[in-house]
Amino acid sequence: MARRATVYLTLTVLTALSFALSLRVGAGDLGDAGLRDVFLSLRGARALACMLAGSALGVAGVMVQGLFRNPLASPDILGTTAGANLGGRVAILAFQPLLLATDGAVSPDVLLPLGCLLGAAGSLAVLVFFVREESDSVVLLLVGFILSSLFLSVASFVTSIAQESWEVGRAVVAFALGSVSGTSLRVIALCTPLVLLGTLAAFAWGRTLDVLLSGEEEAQTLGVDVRTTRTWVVIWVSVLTSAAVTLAGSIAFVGLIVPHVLRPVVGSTHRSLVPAAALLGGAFAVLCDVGARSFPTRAEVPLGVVTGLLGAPVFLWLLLRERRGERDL
Amino acid sequence: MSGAATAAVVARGVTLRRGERVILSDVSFDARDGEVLCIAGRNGAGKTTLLRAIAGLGSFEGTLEVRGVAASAPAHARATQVAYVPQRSGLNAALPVARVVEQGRHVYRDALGRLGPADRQQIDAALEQAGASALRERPFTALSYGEQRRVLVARALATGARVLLLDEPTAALDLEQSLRLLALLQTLAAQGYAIIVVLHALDDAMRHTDRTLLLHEGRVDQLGPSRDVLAPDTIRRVYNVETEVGGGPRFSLPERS
Repeated sequence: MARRATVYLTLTVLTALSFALSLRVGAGDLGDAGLRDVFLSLRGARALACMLAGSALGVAGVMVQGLFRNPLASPDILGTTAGANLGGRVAILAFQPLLLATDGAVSPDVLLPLGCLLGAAGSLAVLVFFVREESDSVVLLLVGFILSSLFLSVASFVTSIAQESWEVGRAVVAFALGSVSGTSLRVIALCTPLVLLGTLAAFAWGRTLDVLLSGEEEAQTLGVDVRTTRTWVVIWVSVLTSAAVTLAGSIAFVGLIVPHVLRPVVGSTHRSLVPAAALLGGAFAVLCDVGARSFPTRAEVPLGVVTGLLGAPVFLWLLLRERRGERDL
Repeated sequence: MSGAATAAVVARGVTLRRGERVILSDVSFDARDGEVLCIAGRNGAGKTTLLRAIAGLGSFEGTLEVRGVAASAPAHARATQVAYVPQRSGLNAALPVARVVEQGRHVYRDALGRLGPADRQQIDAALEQAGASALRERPFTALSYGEQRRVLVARALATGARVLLLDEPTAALDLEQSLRLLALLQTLAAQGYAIIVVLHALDDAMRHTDRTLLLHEGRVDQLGPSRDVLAPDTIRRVYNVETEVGGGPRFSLPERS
């Protein structure tokens, strides 16, 4: 218990430090008194967006790995990430025509989240249909895989259409690669309740997910309504991933690695993992964003590229460690 | 073993198919409070399938009730009446043993997911009865197979259900653990539990169970007192082996163990 408290405290300090670091690092000079507040508010919004996106993905990773009893499962396995991504790209593409049609009444701050949420909701509707109809989680996995492939294909098509305009094409590509550079407080305000509710839901379903670790049939004999549990977990994972995509576009590996790293430290019970994953996921994404801004390149390195560059070797190392005997969930 | 009383499990005309194949055909029987009922039969006879059906797993024709609760009832309603110990758990997480046994009280958690003092007492008692108290802080996946089985029995006892289903509980247990587990089942039956256990070791079935339901090719071949059902003629017909009576060693737990 004392060890777990130390871990939570350490993670909280790490999160606070990463936030503070994010405020200090960037292209602008904080010594310029006239621009200091502007820089800080821009960087603050950026750090907040990263933190929320990372937390959402970390928590979604805990839920999805518990649901499928597979430490290699990632939140994007369900297809809602690809759905949100497609929705986001369509929203960017549709922004200019809508702006002209509505005489400037449309704001990108609303349109982008709306697109992401609608994309995720469309994907979710298909998923929930299959969750209710099929009793096998493998079918759910396959449906998620098919949806991902389908949405990614359509999203690529949208990206290619977007290239007709340089600005729209650039915005779509930046969104696809994962970025928080264009985030706004309105988007953050919209997504914060989604992330908070999703995290609370993950905590609430934690005990049931613990029982599901024994397998769906054993869980059923212990009184778990497996179908209802599966439906709600899928819904909350979708809410969390769509919020993350809205905030930061596609950022890879966070949902996969964070639960992995934490299990040996805080244990396998979901109620222990959820708060820790929210903290570590947030801190990891913020630090990756600091890294993205620190690369000595003229153009900013996309956040999704940095999470991938850091995440892939870490994940390989974890895999190698598991090959040496620690294969538990 | 106490005298048989109320029917805890009632099965009538249970037929279960997988595709074209009939796994169980018109199986009918009662299991009573206060008895250990063994389900025996050759590999593929339908023993595990029948046990799983009683546990509410798998769909079938016919009726199967545990204390009046139908197999089609919601999972939480069944979990208060019947507990199932599978041959091998699917649990592959390093959960501490205490957390695993807690799962037996899952349906009794309050809205915030908490357990009450009575639940804690039940968990402690279950760990004690199954001889798993010393394991409570250890990760489940770090335990030996025999230790894991004791924990699963403790989880089943923690449910408070008075009908226990165990699928080959002595498989891969050493001699002492095996005898202890069988003795525990008899003790529980004496306390009024209805125990249904799948056993391959027929000598164990004869010595430690009250009645045997012998399944052969998905049908009930015989049902009655274990010593009568597992007679040499029946064993020869069903198992195609001869029975040698007496002569071999006979194992038992030491006094006051």
